[in-house]
Amino acid sequence: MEGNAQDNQLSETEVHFFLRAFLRELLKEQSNES
Amino acid sequence: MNHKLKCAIIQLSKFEDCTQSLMALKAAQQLYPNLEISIICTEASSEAFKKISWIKNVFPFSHEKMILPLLSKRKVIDDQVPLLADWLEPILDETFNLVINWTFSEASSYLTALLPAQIKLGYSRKKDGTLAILDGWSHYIYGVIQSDCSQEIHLTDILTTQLLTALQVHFEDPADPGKQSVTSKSFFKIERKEWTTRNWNHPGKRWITIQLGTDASEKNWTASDFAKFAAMILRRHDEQQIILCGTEKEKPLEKEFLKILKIEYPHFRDDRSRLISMVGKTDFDLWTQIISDSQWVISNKLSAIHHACVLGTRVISVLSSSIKYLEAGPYGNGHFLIRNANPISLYALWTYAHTEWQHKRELKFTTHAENLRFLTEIKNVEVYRSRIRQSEEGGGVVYEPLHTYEENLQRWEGRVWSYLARNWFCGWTPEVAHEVTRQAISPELLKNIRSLEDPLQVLGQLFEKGEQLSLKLYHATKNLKSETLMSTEQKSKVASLGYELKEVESLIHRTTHLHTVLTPFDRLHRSLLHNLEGSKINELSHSTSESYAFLKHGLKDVEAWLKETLKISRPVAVVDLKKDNVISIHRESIL
Repeated sequence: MEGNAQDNQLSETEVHFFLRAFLRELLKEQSNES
Repeated sequence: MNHKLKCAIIQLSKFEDCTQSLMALKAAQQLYPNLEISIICTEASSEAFKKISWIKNVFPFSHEKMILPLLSKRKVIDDQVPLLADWLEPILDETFNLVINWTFSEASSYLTALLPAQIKLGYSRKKDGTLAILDGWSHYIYGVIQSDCSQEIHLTDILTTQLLTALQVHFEDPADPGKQSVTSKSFFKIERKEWTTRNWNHPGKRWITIQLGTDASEKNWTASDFAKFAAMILRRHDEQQIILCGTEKEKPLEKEFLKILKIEYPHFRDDRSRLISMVGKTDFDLWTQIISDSQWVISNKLSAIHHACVLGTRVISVLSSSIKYLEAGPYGNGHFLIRNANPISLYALWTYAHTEWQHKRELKFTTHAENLRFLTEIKNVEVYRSRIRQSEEGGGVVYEPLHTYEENLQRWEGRVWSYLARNWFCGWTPEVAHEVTRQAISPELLKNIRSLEDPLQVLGQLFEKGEQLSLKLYHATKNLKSETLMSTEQKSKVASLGYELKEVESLIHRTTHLHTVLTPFDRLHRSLLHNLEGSKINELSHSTSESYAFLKHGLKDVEAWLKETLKISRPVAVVDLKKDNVISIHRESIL
C-alpha cells in the first residue's frame, strides 16, 4: 500500500466519462454546500 | 539529485486545507531540492500559491466558469466538457513522476485518474469508474478521519509522512535537511506596504490580530465575546494595540464587535488608535503583512489560524465545539488552543501565553488564573499548548494540556487510532496507553471501554474467519487453469467460500456500527477489500487474506489498549519496603 503505478492509457470514451463524472460530482458537492 | 522530480498536487479544498498542504510541501521541498511542484487548486486559493517562489506551476480551477453555469441551470454538463478539456490540456502536457490528490473527495478522484503519472497517491478512479484508494495513509483518511471517530495525528503530519515516504520508496533518499525551519515570515513573496496603520512599526507597541468570522462548526463563540476580550486587553495593557481582520462578509460581525466594545470600553471613543478595523479592507498581501507582523493572532477561523502558523506568528485558536480539533489545530511550537472558552478565560490564557518569557512555564496555568482571581471562569475550559516532538519521540505536533482533564471515550479512541496509524505506517509507537494516567480515568470511561470487550472479541473471530476463508479460496483456485471452466465440484466450493466471505462482511458491519471507536474497522475493511491487488480469483483472495491480517493486527492493538487501561485503573497496593507490609490502598477511580 505505498502508492500504485497506474495504467494511464485511458481511451477517449473513458476520458469523456471521467470528465463528465468530475463535473457531475463537483456539482453535487456544490449543491450540498449551498 | 540533478534530475527533476515532477510532482502535481490536487488541492481543491478550502484555503485552510491548502495552507496545511503548503507546510508538508515545504518540508518535502527542503529535503528534495530537485522537486518541481505543480498545484491544481481553486481560483480562490491560487493567489496564495502564486506568491510562493518554489512552486513551479499553479493551475487554478474556476468554479465560476465551470460549475456556476451548471448550478444556475444555464448550461448542462455536456456544454461544459469542452471547457474542462481545454483547462486540462496544459496539465496533461506535463509528465509527472508523482500525482498526489490531497482533496480526498469523490469529485477530485476523477482528476487523479485523468492525469498521467508514474506514481499516484490519494483518491483516484478505476477504469470501471469506482473509487480507488491508492495508499495506506489514504485508507486511513477514508477509514478513520472521514468517519465520526476521533484521532490525534495532525493532518499536516499525515500529508508530510505520506509524501516523504512515497518519495523515498519510489524515487530516492532525501538530502541532508540541516536545521531549516518550515515556517517563515517570508513564506510568500508579497508587496509590503510601508504603512499599515498608525503606530504599526512603533517599537514599543505590540499588535494582536483578531480575525473575525467563524467556521460552520463554531457557532458558540461570537463577535461580542471577542469584543469583551478586546476590552479587557485595552483596559489593562496600555502598550497593546488590536487590529481587526475579516472579509467583506464579516462586516455585520465588525458592527456587532464595535457596538459591544464601546459598552465594555467607553474610552474607545476618545482613543480609537488602539483598535483599528481592517475588516473588508485587506487584499491577500496586506492581510499576510498584518498577520506576519503581529505578535499574536487570535481567532476561531481556521484560514487565519493556519496562515499565521505558516508565517511563524503565534496563535491562540478559540474552539468551542469542534470535536476534531487535534487533527487540524495550529501547527508548530508554542501555539495555544482553548475549548469552551469565555472572554475571561481567553484573557487569562493570553496573559499566561504573553508572559511565558517571564514565568518560563514554571507557573501553572491554574495558578496564573487564581492569581488573576479567575479560577471559576476557567473551570470548564480546556487549554492546550502545541509542541513539535523530537523525531525520537515520534515527531509531529502534539497538544499538551495545561491542566488535567478527565479522560473521556472520545479522547481515548483518538489516542488508540493514532497509535494504530503509527504502528501500521510509521513503524514507531510509544508504549501502549503511556499517556493515560489513573487519575484521569473516569468511571464512565471504564464503563464505556468495558462495553467494547464483547464486540472486540467477536470482531477478532470475524477477521480470523475472513483470513482463513480467503486463504482457502486462494488454495482452491491457485491451480485452476481457467476461471470460467471448472468442475461442478470446484465451482460449488468457490461459490460457497465466496458466500461465507460475504456473510463475514455483513457481520463485521453489524458488530461495529454501534461503537464509534470500532466503525473505522468497518470502513477500512470495505476500502481495503474494494482496492485489492490482482485480477484473478487467486490473486484477489490472497490480497483479501492480507487485508484481514492487517485488520487483525490493528484489532490486537485496540485490545492491548483496553487491557492496559483497565490495568492502570486498578487500585494499587503501596508497599512500605522497609517494613515490607502493605500500608495503604489507592483507589482513585471507582470500578
